[in-house]
Formats: sequence, C-alpha cells, structure tokens
Amino acid sequence: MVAMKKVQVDIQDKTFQFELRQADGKLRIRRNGDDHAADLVRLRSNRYSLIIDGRSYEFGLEHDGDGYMISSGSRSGTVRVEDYELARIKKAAGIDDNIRVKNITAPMPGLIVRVNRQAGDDVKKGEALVVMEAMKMENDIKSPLAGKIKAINVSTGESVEKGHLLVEFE
Amino acid sequence: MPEISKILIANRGEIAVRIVRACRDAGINSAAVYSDPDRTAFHVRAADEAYPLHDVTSAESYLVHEKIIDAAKSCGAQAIHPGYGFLAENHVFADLCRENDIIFIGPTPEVINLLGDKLEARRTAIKAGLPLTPASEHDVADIDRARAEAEKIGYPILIKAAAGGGGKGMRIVHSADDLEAALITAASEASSAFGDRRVYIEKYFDRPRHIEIQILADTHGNAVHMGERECSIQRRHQKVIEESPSAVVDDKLRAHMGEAAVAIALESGYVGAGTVEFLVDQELKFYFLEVNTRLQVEHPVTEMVTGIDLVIEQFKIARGEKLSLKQKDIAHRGHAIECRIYAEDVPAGFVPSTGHLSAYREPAGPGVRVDSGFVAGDTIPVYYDPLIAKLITWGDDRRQSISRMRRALTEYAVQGVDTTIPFELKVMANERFVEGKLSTHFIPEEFPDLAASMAQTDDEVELSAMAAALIDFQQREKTAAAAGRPARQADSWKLSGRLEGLRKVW
Repeated sequence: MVAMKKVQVDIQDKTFQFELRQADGKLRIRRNGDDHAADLVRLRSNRYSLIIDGRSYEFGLEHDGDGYMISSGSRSGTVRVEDYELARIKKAAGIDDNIRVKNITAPMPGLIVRVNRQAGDDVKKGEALVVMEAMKMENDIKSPLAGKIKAINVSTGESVEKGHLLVEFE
Repeated sequence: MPEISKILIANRGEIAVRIVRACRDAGINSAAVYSDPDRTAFHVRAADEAYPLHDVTSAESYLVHEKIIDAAKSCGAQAIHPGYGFLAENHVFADLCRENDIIFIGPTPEVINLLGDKLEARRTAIKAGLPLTPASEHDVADIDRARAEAEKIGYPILIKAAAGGGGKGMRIVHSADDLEAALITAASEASSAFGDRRVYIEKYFDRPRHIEIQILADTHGNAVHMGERECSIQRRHQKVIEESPSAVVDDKLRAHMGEAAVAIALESGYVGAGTVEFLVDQELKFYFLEVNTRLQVEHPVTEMVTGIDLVIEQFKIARGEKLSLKQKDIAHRGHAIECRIYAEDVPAGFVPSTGHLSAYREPAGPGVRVDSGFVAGDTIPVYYDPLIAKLITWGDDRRQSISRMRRALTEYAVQGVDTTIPFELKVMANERFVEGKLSTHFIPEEFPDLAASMAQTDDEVELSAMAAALIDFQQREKTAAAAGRPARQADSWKLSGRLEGLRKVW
C-alpha cells in the first residue's frame, strides 16, 4: 500500500512542501521533483538517525506546543509540519497559526534593571529595550524588529520568570 | 610538612570536577559541597564525599564562609581548594581558613588582599620594575578628579573597578563629554559587583592583545613561569576563546614577559598558581594589567602545551614542597586552543539560556580534551554562571589545533539549551582568526551582526525541514499502525513516543 502524504513545513521564515510515502517498508521524500530514499530510525525518545541518499545524520526532535523543536549538532529551532491541504484551507480562511507574535518575553528568569523605552516609542531592530540581570551579568534585551512599542509590561526592580511578557509591539 | 589526605572543594561545576580528578591522581580524598539545586549536579557524584550547604543562591551557599569551613572541619579535610570565582580571591575567607588551621590552596590572605586591589597591585608592579599602562595612581572619587586624570592620561580612557574584574565597573570613554555619565554607572556597577565603588582611570589602547603569563611559586622563594596564553577573543570583557602560544610572542618576548611575571610574584611573596595579565600593543610592547591570584578557567591551555598538571602542582606547593620544576625544564610543544562552552543564545546577544540537556554528547578523539560539569539529562541551573564546559584541542601546530577544534565543535551534540558552539564554529572558520590577527575588538569587528553571521545555509535549513517532515510522517504511521488504522494528522504521537521512550534503555 503506497500512501502519499503532502506536507507543508515552516522553519525559520521559510516554507517547504514535501511529498512523503512509505512503500515496502522504505521511506521516500520528494521535493520539487527530486526524490530521495530515506532510512529513519528512532534511537530513543528524542533522537533519530537519518540516512538520506547514503548521507548520514543525527537529529533531535521534541514536541514544542503545536510544532517541534528540531536539533542538529548544537543548533536547534522551531519547525511546524502541517498537512498541505489543511494548511491551504486555513490560509484561504485567513487563519494563520504561524503569525509571529509581536512580543518579547523574558529569555530567562531575572531582575529588571533598566527600562529604556516606553509605549508609543518607535524603536530600531537591535536596540536594547530592557536590561535584565541574570546569571551574574547584565543582559540587554534587544528588539527583534523595527517597530512601535504598544506596551512595556515590566518596571525597574521587578523580578520575572522565564517567559514573562516584557514588551508588546503594535 | 603538612600531610594532605582530604581536600574540600569549595566550588561547583567543571572546576570542581577538575579538582576531583587531580585528587584522584594524587591519591587524595575529595569532598564536594552542594547547594540545594546542585544536589543532582555531576560534581557531587564525581567526588568521594559530598556535604550539603543548603539553600539556593550562591550568596546563601557557596559564598558563606562559615558553611564551607564547617563542612571542611566536620569531614576532616586538611585543605580547601577554592577553584576560581566564588571565594578564590577572598582574603577574609583565606584568613578564616588559616585561623581554623585549614590549608587554603592559594596565596596567603595578605598577598590576595594586596594583589586583589588593582591600585596596590600596580604599586607592587612598579616596585618589581614592570612596565605599566598609564593610569591614575589613586581611585577617582569625584568628577573633577576624574577629569584631571583623564586629561593627563589622554583620551580614550578606561574607567575600571579597583576591587575586581570580569568587565564589571568598566567603561570606555572617548571624550570628556561622556565622562560623567560613565563614571556614575561604573561606580554603581562596581559597588553591586564587589561591594566597593572605587574606580580608577587607565589609558585605553586601540586593538590591544590580552596576553597572560602562568606562574607557579612555592613557599621557598622559588617561582617559574609557564609561558603565555593569548586571551584576546572576549565579549563583554569575558574571555571566550584562549590559546597558547600567542601568534605574536616569540621566544624573546616570552622570556621578557615571563621574567616580569616572576619578578612580581617574588616581589609580592606569591605562593601557588597565579596569572599575570598584560596588555600588548601594536608595537608588541607589553604593559602590566593585573595579577589573578587563583587558578584560572583557561588553565588547561597551558597544561596541554607544557604537559604539566597545574592542580597537582598546587597540591605540592600547599604541602610546602619545593618546586620540582626549573625554568629551563619548562618546554612548550605544539599549540592548544580552548573554547568556553557557555549556555547562551548568541544571536540574541549572548543571552543566558537555561534548560534541560535532553541530549548532550561531548566530543573526543585525538587531541581533544573536555573539562565539564554536566552530563546528559542535567539541567543548567539559573543561579550560577552559564559555563557548561571547556573544550580544548591540541595540535602539532596552530593549523592542526584549529582543524581539530572544528572537528570537535561539529561533533559536540547539545539539545535543549542554546550554546556558544555554533558561534565558535564560525570563529574557527573566520579568515582573520585563522591568520592569527587577534585583538580584544575581534568579536564586534568580525561579527557586527551576530544573527546574520550565525544564519544557517539554505541547504542546512532544507535538511532540517526534511528531517522534521520524515520524523513526523514515520511517527504518525507507527501510531496508526499500532492502532490498526490509517494515520491522521490529528493523531497525537506524543504519548506513544513517551511510552516507547520508557521501554527503551539508554
């Protein structure tokens, strides 16, 4: 039985489409007409050995909300895998799960040492908006984009947990 | 001579493990201490004995003098090794050890106090005949004093804390207009970091190299130097990559700098392992900066090129033995590089990354050494500094050392926490680094846009996308097969994954 599945993968602001099928116990993946044989073995709950066209790799994959965290070597990042048809329908209906939430959250627990900007300010990408003290260092929390600040959710002297909302953008 | 059969290690993480290893080699019992979050830390399991300090933050545990002394006394340790950071350069603690008849593995409290004060250290260096960076003789308590000194020295200048280093209380000032604001923030930072708001002013050099000399001194008036370490690759004045030998230090310069380091060791009555730091300008003139009265993080670099175990030498000196090494016997072979592996999100600006090491595998093989405090499954605690491990490679020459470092960094597998590994791989591939044209401005100059420098290639991204698609597909097929029906996108294979994970033994 050859079941072919088409998926859409969102990773680092890029979108890919793949066709996957399993035939006679063999896994195949196709993109843009290029077809590859894949041998995939799960080593343990979060580690996989992948041999694709003879090239050998090790990946880590863990659930992360609705998507995954994929890891290779010492790098990792979020990735979403969705049924292609479903993704198309959602897009047509105006549902965008992938919309980048324009917020900055605390990357680790710490103390707010300085708030450099306020609501209504226009900021540049890379500008230090908030300064947090954590792990014996002062850390600049930088703006990931150029934009207008909607709200600053913290004040100097406040102690925050990892993930705490710091800045909201328009 | 005092017999040392048990050492209490007043530290944690990789340096505690390092000291445990030296104890094992020397046939000495090792006693570890741990805070509550560190109960499950690797250094606790690595040591022969372990004693609780209770509580959570460093200030409540590793930094509490009485707790450390009590642990040493109750387990019968004759000596305490303070590692680096924490109490290593705390003369009050060293004095408390002495009062309690416990050997503090390091210099005497008086020498720690003397050299720990940057201004006193400079006065000692002058007495020992060392060349110095132009600086204010005293701390600058007010803006008028600061202005006068800055004018005398000439801009650009550096405001530095008198009581400590690591970049805290440090500000570069390019013109008189910026002086007042910089003075205020520097003093405030110094106060919170060291409990001492004194700052002084020093000449700021353009593109200097930071080169330091390792010294060993015994209680019999003997001192030797073990060559240099080049530590110019820094961020926020914290070292990231170190190496030995330095590309610009020839035998003659090494001998001069080494002699200067030995001179200040003897002048100050130094005992133990220490490091004398110098700034080297573009004309290869060197200037005394400071003395670090402790074993340093980057000590393995020297160990790899000299073949000498510095911690074992510390033990011997602490026992009152005469230095077995003579200057002429200390030879250098090959080239060593160290990359500090910090748990940090580099593209975000070296922001600390905490989390669980869901997968972690250190590299190994020819010329590779890893000093670490973590194993797979450990959590990086938020309470202490983010150093996971030190990766050191050695080669016949710099080229081979770099090539082995590339191999080792590529082999290093970490999942669950961001690290500096991908960044260090970029440095190893950087043309200027390979040519050895280093300076303390290296990181901002070569990596002005960290996020862009660290971007993955299109092929790498596509490969990850493919892997994710394949794993997702295969796992859903498996879940469906187990349930005896076709796969559905809505299937959750999270649970089946966990169950499978429990069955497997790893």
